[in-house]
Parts: sequence; C-alpha cells; structure tokens
Amino acid sequence: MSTVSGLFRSIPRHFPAVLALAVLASPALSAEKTKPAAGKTPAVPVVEKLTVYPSRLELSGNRDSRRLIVSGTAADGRAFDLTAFVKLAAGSDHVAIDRDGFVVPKKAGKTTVKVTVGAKSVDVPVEIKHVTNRPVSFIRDVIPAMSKVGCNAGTCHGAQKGKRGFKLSLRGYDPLYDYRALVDDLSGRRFNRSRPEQSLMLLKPTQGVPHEGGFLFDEKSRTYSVLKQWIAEGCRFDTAKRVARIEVFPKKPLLETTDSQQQLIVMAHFPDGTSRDVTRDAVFETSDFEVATVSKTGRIEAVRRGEAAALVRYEGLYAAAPVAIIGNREGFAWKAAPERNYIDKLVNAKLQRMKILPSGTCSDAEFLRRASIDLTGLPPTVEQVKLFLADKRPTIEKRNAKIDQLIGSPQFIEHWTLKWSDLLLSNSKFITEKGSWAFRNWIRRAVATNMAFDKFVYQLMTANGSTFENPAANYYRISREPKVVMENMTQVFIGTRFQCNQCHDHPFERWTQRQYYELSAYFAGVGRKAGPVKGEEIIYSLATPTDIKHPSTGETIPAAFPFSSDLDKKNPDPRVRLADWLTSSKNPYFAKSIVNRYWSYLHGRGIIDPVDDIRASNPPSNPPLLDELTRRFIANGFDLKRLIREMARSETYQRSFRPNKWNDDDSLNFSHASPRRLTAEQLFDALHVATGAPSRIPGVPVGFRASQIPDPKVKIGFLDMFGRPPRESPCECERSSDVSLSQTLNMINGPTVSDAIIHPEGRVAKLVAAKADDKTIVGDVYLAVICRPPTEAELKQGVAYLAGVGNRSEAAQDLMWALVNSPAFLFNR
Amino acid sequence: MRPVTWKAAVLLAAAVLWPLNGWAQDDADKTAEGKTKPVSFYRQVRPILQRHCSGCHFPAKKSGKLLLTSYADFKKGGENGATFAPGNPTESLILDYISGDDPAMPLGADPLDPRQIDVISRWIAQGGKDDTPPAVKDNISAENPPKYSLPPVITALAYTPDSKTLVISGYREILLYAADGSAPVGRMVGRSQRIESVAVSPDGKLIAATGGTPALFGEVQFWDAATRKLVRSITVSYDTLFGASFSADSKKFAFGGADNGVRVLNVADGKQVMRMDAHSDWSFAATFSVKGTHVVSVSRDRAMKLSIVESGQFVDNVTSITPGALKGGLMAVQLRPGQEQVLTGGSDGTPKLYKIFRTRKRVIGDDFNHIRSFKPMPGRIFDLQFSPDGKQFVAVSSTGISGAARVYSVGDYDTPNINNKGGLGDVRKQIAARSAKSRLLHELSGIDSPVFAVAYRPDGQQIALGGFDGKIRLYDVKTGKQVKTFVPVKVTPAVAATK
Repeated sequence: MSTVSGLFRSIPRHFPAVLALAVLASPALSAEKTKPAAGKTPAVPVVEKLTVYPSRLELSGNRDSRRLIVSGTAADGRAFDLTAFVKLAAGSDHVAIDRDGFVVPKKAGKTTVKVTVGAKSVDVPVEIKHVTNRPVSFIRDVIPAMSKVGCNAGTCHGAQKGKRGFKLSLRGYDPLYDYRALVDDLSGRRFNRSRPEQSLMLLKPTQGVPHEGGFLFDEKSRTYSVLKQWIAEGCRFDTAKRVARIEVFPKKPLLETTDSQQQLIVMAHFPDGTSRDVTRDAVFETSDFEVATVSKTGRIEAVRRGEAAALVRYEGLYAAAPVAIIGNREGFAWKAAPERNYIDKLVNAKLQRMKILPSGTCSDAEFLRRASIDLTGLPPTVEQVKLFLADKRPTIEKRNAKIDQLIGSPQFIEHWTLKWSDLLLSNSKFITEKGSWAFRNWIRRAVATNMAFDKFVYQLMTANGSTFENPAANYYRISREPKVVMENMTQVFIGTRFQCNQCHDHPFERWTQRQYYELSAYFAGVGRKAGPVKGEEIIYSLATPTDIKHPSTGETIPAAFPFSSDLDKKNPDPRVRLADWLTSSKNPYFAKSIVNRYWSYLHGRGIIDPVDDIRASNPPSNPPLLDELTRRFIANGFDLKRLIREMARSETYQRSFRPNKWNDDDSLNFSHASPRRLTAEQLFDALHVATGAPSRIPGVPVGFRASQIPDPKVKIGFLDMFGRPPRESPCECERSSDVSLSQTLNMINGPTVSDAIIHPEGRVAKLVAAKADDKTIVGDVYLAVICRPPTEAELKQGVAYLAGVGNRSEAAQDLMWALVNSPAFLFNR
Repeated sequence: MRPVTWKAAVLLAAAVLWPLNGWAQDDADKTAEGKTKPVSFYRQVRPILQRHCSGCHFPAKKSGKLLLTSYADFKKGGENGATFAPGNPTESLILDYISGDDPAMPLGADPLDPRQIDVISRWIAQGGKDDTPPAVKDNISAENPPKYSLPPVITALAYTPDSKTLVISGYREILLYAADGSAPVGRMVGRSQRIESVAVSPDGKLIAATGGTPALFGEVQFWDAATRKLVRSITVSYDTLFGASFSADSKKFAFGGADNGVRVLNVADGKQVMRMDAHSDWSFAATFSVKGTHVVSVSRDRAMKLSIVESGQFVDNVTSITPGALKGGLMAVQLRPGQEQVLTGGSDGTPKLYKIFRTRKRVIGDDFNHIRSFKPMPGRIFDLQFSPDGKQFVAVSSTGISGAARVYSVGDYDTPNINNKGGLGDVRKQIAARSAKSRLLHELSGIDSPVFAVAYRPDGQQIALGGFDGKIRLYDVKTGKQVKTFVPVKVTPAVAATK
C-alpha cells in the first residue's frame, strides 16, 4: 500500500539501525512492506559493478513515471538486485523522484538520474519529451487504480452480487459496466462533480464515511489523486484502447541466495505503440509462497531454494516471471549428462541453470517395466523380461527397438483407446451400450491407424449423422448443450478451463465471460433427433442455430473466437469454422496442450501442470522444452506415435527414480523419474499378468483386460476403489491416483488379489504342479511380479522361506503376496 | 490460498459491527506494534455526530444554538457552553448529555451505543483534535451556498401545481427556476448532499425532497413553498431516501430508502404512519393509490409491492420478480391519474402498465395484473411521468454514456375492462398482443447524455428533463421539439486542476 500509514506499519521493530537509515533515505523503499524476518536481514552484497535497467529513460506526459531496477555483479559473477538499497538523485529539476522511488517528469529536456549504492554510482540518462497534461482516462488510469487497491476483487465489489448494492466487474474486465456502476447507478450517487472530494467513491475507501471494506488509501495517495482528478474532469468515459500486452522485467528472475530479493518492473504496451511503466498498478502474487513472496510493489523475496512464479496481473492481462532461487549449492559441480535427443539438451540446460544434477540411467529391467506400463498399460511378461535382459545389443539400440515394438503392439492400441475413451467420456449412460461400443471402436481404429491428431479432432468436431454409423457423432450425443460441449472441448483440446468464465471473467486468465458465450455459440447449431434404429440419434446442423444469450444483459451473442481469430476460414457451418480454427497448426494451444498432456502420461507430471489448466498464471517449468516438442509435433504432422517415441527414447525418460544429493528436492525438472501408483486398470491387469490367473470381468469374455472395458457402467469394485474415472467430466483429475487405507487393506486382504494368487490355473499353481525347484519358483515369482530377477540375497531369502514352510504351494503364494504388496509392484517407477 | 491478511480480519470485524458507525474500525486501528492509534475525529467521531446529532444541530435548525456539522462549530458549542474540554472527558458537556442511564441526547431517539460513547470519550482524552483533511471541509450554509466548478448531476425535477416554478435538485440544495427556464428564483440549502427526489404537494403549499448523504443519513425535507423556509427535516436511516410522493389530499407522504423500507409520513407532524419492510433490496419509489389507502412501491429487488397505508400491512406482490426485469430492478413507479393503475420502469428499459388491485386469484409466477408493456427504451429507465390527463406519459433512460426520452400514448386501457384470462401462457399472449400495439408519440431530440429525471408540467404543455450533464432541457409537448436548454446553477470553473 503506497500510503504514509503504510510506511509506519512497515518499519519492523528489530530492524538493524543501519538498514533502517537506508530505508528512510531511500525513496525506493519508502512504501515497501519490509519483511522483518529475524536472521534474514539482507546485507548489501559487495559488488564490483552496477547495472541499471532500463539503461536510459524516456518520459512523456505529466502522468508518466518510471521505475529503475539496479543490479550489482559480485566478483564471482553472481548478480544481486540492489534496487532496495539504492539512492536516487535527480540531476536537475527536469525530473523528480517521488515517494515510491519513481522518476517523474517535470519539464521537457534532457537530464540524468544518479543511482548510488554504497560507493558505486551510475548516471542514467533521461529524456523528457514533453510534460503535456493528459486527462485521466477511465480505462487506463481509473480502473487500474481501483484494481490495485482491490475494489473490484472477488471478495469485494467484484463478487458476483457485488457488495451492498455496488457491483463492479470482477477485476475490471468490463469498463462500460464499471463506468455505469460508478456514474450511472442511482443517478450518479457515487461521484460528486461539484465537490469531487465529497464523492462517495473517495469517501468510502478513505473511511470518510463508514466502509465495510475498511480504509484503503488516504487523501495524499496517488490512487486518491487519480480518482479525484477523474471526477474533477467530469467523470468522462473514454474509448482508450485497453492495454494489448504486458511485459515483466527481469523476464527470468534468478535469486542467488535465500536472502536475495528482486524488484520487478511491469511494462504495459498499448495498441497505439506507446508503453507505460505500470508497476505501481499491477497486482502481484506468488505461485508458491513457500518458495518466494512477491510484495504489493512487485518485489520478490526468496524464502527457500526452489522455483516459483511471480504472477502479474494488470487490466485483465496476465504474465508470469519464473523465479529461480538457487540457495546454497556449495560443492555443486555440473557433470555432463547423456543427451540422446533434443529433449535431453533442453532438460539438462534447465538443470544446469538450477544447479541440479540428474539421476543416472535406470536399469534395463526398470526401463522395460516402465516403458511397457506407460506405453501399453501392461507390465512385461516373464518371458519378455528374460528375453530383454538377455539381449546383448547396446543399451540404446535395444531400448529403442523395444520402444518401437511396444508402440506397434495391440496392447498399445488398447491402452491409448482407454485414455481417449476416458477423455471423450464414452459412457453408455449417455450414448447407450451399443453406442459406447461403436464409439470405442471408432477411437480404437483412430489409435490403430495412428490417425493424425488434428484430423482426429476435426472429425469429432464436425461429426454428423447417425451415432451408430458415424460413431464420432457421439461426441455431440454425450455433451448436449452448446455450453457443455464448449467447456469439454476447451478443457480437452486446448487444455484450458473455460467453465470458470461462465459467470465472470476467468480469475487467472484473460478469458472473459463474453468469450465463454461467444465460443459456445459455435455449437448452438448442433441438431439432435431420434434415428430410425432404436437407441440411435442423428446429429445434424440446424438451419437456424439457437440463440446464445448473455446472462446479465440478455443480449444474443454471436460466435467469435477468443484468440487467433485470423485462423477462421469462414466456412458457413459454424462447427467447421470451429474445427478449422481449433486444429490449425497455428492455434497456440491445440498442439501444445496435447504434447504437454502426453508428456505427463510418461512422466507423471506435465511441463505445465495440471495439464488441463493452461493459463498465464500457471507457467511451464521448461518453456523451451515444451515449445520444441510442440514445434516438432506440428512439423511431423500431429503424429502421436512419433511423439511418444521421441519422449520414450530420451535419457530424461529413462532416468532412475532414485534421487541423488543434488536432485532430491526437485519435482519440477525431470531430473529423476517419479514413481506413480498404477492406475486402476493397470493394477488389475498387472495383477493378472503377474499371477497368471485369467481375469473375469462381468459382461466381457474371460481374459478381457480391464483396460478393454468399453464403459464404466460395468461395475468392478476393485477398479472403482483404485480411481477408475466415471467418465462424466473431461478433467484429467477425474482419474484418481490417491492412495487410501481401503486400497491398502484390499491389496493385503481382498478377494481380487488373493483369488488371483491362489487361482488353480495361476502361476504358483503351475510352478508347484510342475515340481519346479525353489530357485525357479523364487526367480519366476520375482520376474512375474516386479519384472526383474531377484538379487542374490533375495533369492537366498526366498529359498529359505520356501524351505521353512511345509506347504510349498502356500509358501510360494505368500512370497507372491508379499511382492504384490511391495512398492516395486504397486508403482510404476 | 494466500494467508489471511489484516484486511480480511478488518472485513470480518466490520461485518459484525456494521450498523453502528464510527467505531467499527477500532480493531483495524492497531499499529504493527499493537498500540492503539489515536481516535480520528474525521473518520470516527464525525460520522457519529453526523448520523445521530446533526439532524437537529445544523444551520437551518440550530437547536440549542449548537451546530455539529463542522469541527469548529462543534468545538465552539452552543447556549450551554463548550461541548468538550480537550484532554478532559469528565469535564466535557457532551459526555454528560449522551451517557448515563437516561441520557438527554440524542433527543427522542435511542441512546448511543456505549462503544460510540467510548470513541468520543477517548478522542476528547487524547486532546480532541481535528484531523479533517483540508480537502473535505464543508462550510456550506444558506449564507454560504454551494459553488459549482462543474454543473451538478440532475437527479430530480418537479413543477409546482401552478406550472410557474420548476423544482430542481442541486448539491446540498434545491434550486427553484422559472418554469420557462428564464431565471433562477430561489435556492433552498439543506444538509443533505444528495436530493434524490422532489415533489410538490398537490395543494401547492409544500415542497418536499428525499435524499441524504450517502452512507451517513437519509432525510426528508419539507419546505414552505411560499417562504422557502425549512418546515421540517426528518432523519431516517443511515443512507439516502428515494421517491418522494404526496397523497392526492396532500396529507400523506410516501418514500423508499436504502434500508429497503417503504415509509409513509403524516405531512402535518412528520410522524411516521407506515413502514413496510417486505422488499429485499433498496426501495426506489412509492406511489399512492387513487384514494390514498394503499401504496405501491418498487425496488432493486425487481418486485412491485402493494401495502395498506393504515395498517402498514404488505398485501400483495403486484409482481414478485417483474417479468423481464434485469438486475438493478425497478426504479420508478407512478399512479396513472384517476385510475387504479401504475406505470413502472427500470433496468430492462421497458415501461410497463399494471393494475394495482387483483381481480384474479394469485398464482405463483403469474403476471395477471400486467396490462401492457411499451416499446423498450435504450438502457435503464430512471424516471417516468404521466401527463396530467393520464393519456400520455414520458419516460427517460440512460445507457451509461447516452440517454433517451420518449413520449408514449398510454392507449385506451381502463381497469375494469382489462382482465387477463386463461393460464399463464394465455395471459402472456394477451399482454404481448396489447403491447405490440403500443404507440410512441415523440422521441425527444437533442439528448446525448444520460437522463435521470423528468417532469410533466401540470398545464400539460411542457416537459422538463435533466441528468448526467447537468443541463435542463425543456420540450414542447405538442411538437416534441426542444424549446430551451440551460444549466440551472452558476458554474465557476476551478483553476485547471493538476495532479
């Protein structure tokens, strides 16, 4: 809060005197809420050189003001932000330094500002083009000021119903609405043009009259002067273009120590080519306050080693600066890690920057199990493990061959068919049982033929006709309302959550409420009628689409794209237009979101995570990696198999899950594999592969894999307990990967597990019947359950156990039971 | 989520303590060290005085020769001497008056809350200093009337029954103008910053206004039309009042308010004779039935409600959620002269004519009293008024950046002849059929700014309207032509304000 009272509140009790003096002397800090954390008082680092950003200033107009950020480079090359310790002095009366430490123009001409830290100083040239008086703009000045103090926050007047009869659009997304609220509501109650300082909109936040929202700024603050000036100028509505883009400096703040801080500058760029420093009006947040905090004035303060994002919001635009805090890495030395393809290069670059050392390559057995489960949903069989381990070809060669083999296998098709059946909500509840088979088979064919992903989606979006004859049309049978179709489409295919902006603008993205209805309008022309066959539905395009109406104005909303509208090929059929736009290689989200989603399938975490919540405030952990994956995916014609192959072939994918000293706190940068609990179907299928018992699922033939079930209607308690999705929501989160007590008890003591282990046609029964020796039994059980041979010690222990129990069959079953309940089986790692 | 901030704590505290002003912020006044900040005259003490005391102790009334509208006057005191002794609460007159078991002040009202008394006491103990920011000091009185650097927004208009004078809302005052717009004829300076509505009693004796100062108090003012002296000021609730309306016999006065209540006062003694609290949001206007036995009120809650004046009993929702009404609700209602019909308008921009009394049993979601709607106006309707003969009406609206004013023909719909028959759907069709025939007589020209107020001159010859731009526009009813435009106050532009 940039107020005088803010200053009093800000000085901590035990602040060292020296620094307290620095605080008082430094205008740059006067409005800061300083962190009083004991023992973390940052000393001014000793630096060799000062660097000021921007290196020169250009100011124009009486309302312009610019902030400087100052960085010092130490002898060892490490850089520290010194903005908080800087003394600024105007070189002449052409400029002044205001109480927030901003350089403000006073008269036209050229001058300098002296920037001093300790004994070092730099002169920054400043050019003042003019100091013309620009009237206060409602759009450019008033709304940002109100946003900054929080008038239009979701907890205040931006709430859906406003507060006490005064409602603003959430975070100022709708200037005309806000103008009407301030000026027009109740015949101008909230301003007083005759006596601006008597305006309710000034009296309330200054507590001149009672205000439930409390005291927000005083009469001397900049916010007050902006609002008052606007009223004094007659409360004009202007048609200033809103800001087109915001930019944050530094782009990738790197804080060397956990005492470091970094001031940010936010620049707003307008459509007319002008730019303004809007640091004071931007709203800052941190993505993770356990790693770094960001003050109201835009200063990042490190909390601990790690990564977070400084989230910046200004006028409905969002930007994020990835913050890296290095902390104490004494003794760290980067060692070149193997790089098999571009993925590894880009991952390692990030690791090196963050001073993280990746884990080594996983063993062949680990690789085989991991790749088999990720690519086909099934663990390898005993024979496959033996064969692979016996393969004497060089590691890379044989692993690559294995990947190709898995990708070409029928199990691969079943596995990815399941994934898409989940995401597309193939559910007999919506589309009849016959429909769910038809839809599944359509998806299956697409996977089997490796249909280009853009074509796959295009066919879904434009599907017409009988849901039985053209199963893709089931897409519109499952989601029956334009709004629902649109929500599902955006979440699955562009990885964003448009449902948030149904009632108000998206709280963390630039999407507006209006865009929600505009985008829904593309699906307003989908007709549905009963077909001649019982249970069949015909999807067709209506001659006159139904009206999509705005909920608060009642206005009919025409179809329009929320971004990249230049991709519209203007087809007369709105769904074709949508499909053209959506699946375009230039659509900035379409390819990126699927690449990110597939990455998460192989790594347990997206480069953007959650994968279906892409937004500016949820930045990727490694942007160059995601960009390059996307670029290649598009260049390769949206080839999903190829994408999977490239990912699986990387060293990054094949890293051990065991962390080392330099990467054990890393969960973002893929420096080691992350163990993931097997999904419900994987667990069920793996259990049957391991035990050799045939699976019996009601409604499908014996031996059918769980992942082949076309429809969640088939109730299997085991699968539901382990988080099989009911296919009612397109969110990835619908598939639960939670671990629960009932799961544990069921693994230990449940019928699914025990029936499989003791099955008379199962592995143990067959081994015992064949009178296999103890070593073979132990070896085979290890190979079957955890897909690797036992170590010497394990073998010895297993054999001793078998010998110690009278009943060999029961002893072998016990061994198998123990392994089934071990992390090596329950997790893909 | 982010940790709970001190601001959130204040919000919570304030929410609990809300209705008693002035001390609600105490909990927020702790400094970082936990010390209590000094009590602020401007932010804490003044609101208490404004709310509870200045209804009597203000320039036009000056009870006990004491003024409580500024710090200087408060300090000076009245006929009994200084109000307070700085630094010495026990020696301070004000505390004698307001504390104790049966305090003398506020006269005829509930005692102050002990916490409010504590705020005043602590402030005196701390020296009783004025911290009013220079910018907000208010020295306005009849002797020192408001000065305007820009024209004030026009929120209310009315004509005197003799058609000679136009009554116009100003800031802190009511402006009187010759009806032809030729010259100002008077200023009546009161204490309400906002005049939300003005009305002249049908017998021509009184000029009434409802308004108040936002977030502080609501006020009804009765002025003698001949002498232009304040007859009575009645403080009601904590925020502004709306929709002034006299009964046909000039004996009763109805209005709405920001506390949702609809009230009726006896004009003779100012006593409240009815209060109806069935609205769930601010009530903006009220109008009497032909005989004055009932009141119809409209509100931001989108409902139009009927109440009995004598008992204050809520009788009926003429409409519970008026069909088509958008958020913002209904803002105006007026009785059709001589008919048990009302015309209403609001945020959906459609003027609607209703029967006041039901002739059919109520059904949930019905609209049986709806006679017809008229062609929608652009934006929201802020005011409307019938011609004296009830055959036409004028409605004014605002889109937020522009406005409109239209004269409509009511059409030949007398109450006994209109009965909506059949089920809900049938009724809808009958209303739609009648509405389709609605006739627009004039689109009043030359309007480029929101219009908030309109008045139909009793001689039926002229219409006056005003709004955001502060200009009064006069129109000839027969031709619909604009005959005059003027700003009703003297504007002295401020020195070009700079930052």
